[in-house]
Amino acid sequence: MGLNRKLTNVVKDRVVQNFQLNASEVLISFADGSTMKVKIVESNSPRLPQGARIRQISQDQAKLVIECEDNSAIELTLADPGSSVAVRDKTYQVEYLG
Amino acid sequence: MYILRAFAFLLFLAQVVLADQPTPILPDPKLTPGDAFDVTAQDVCVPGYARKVRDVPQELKRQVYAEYGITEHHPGDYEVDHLISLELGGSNSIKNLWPESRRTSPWNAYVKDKLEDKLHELVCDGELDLKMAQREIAANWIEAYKKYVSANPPVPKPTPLGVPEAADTADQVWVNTRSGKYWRPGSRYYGMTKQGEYMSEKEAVQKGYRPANGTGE
Repeated sequence: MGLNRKLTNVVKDRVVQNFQLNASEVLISFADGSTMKVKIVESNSPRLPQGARIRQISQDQAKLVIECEDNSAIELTLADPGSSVAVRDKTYQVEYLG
Repeated sequence: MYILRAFAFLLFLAQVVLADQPTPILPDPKLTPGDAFDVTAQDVCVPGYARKVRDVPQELKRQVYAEYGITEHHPGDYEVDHLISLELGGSNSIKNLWPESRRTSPWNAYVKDKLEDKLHELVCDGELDLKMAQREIAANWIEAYKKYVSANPPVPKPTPLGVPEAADTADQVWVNTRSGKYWRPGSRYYGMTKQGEYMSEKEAVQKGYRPANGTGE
């Protein structure tokens, strides 16, 4: 599984403030006011804890793994690679889509 | 008997000609129905938007060629194109990608670029709804060209089969989509970086890419 450099560069060091997971979507709110929305078909991991700092994001086609500095991590299966992840800053400007 | 042989020969000739002609001009709607991000006109009209969201790994491009049954091709024959262009909110999903011919005439990737620019301009001027633009370019980009750019097809540039179109390849650059820099033919990294795509230099500049080392050499 390779590093998703583009996405990692966008969200690295951001701190998780809130984490919502439902059957088809993950919504992570960061302390800086930005958000990361991921459309998924499944998640087999526990949720990311509040205060976790993003270290890196790896991806292999539909598999996306978000790893944090405290070694917490979540593995997600994307609904449609290339069209499932959206990161927007606190003013709702697009930072990453993919 | 002679007629049958002549017919068989003509059939063979047609196959040879078609085999050398890059296809497709229109995508297969089952493989490439088009797909868009959840964005608004406000999003796509921000300068630099397309560059920010452009992300098609080489592996995905290989999958696109494979699903269209293209096992080998010459540099410059195709580009893996977003059916709904990034500038119109198109996504990087394989459902929005297809190997678009650069060498067919009059309809090819360069002509579609003109349509994409025109639709983007209309959307950003508030003259066309983004969703409508997405629907029309996904449904049939040639019909959309006739509707929004010109009722007449562009003047075809005759190209001998099997011979690269000199004007197009001369203007063609290789864009490293990760670094945002482009390389000219003959330079060290032309067609060599892990992520990238061929496009005309004009298109590269319009999309915000810059020549590597200041010259692209």
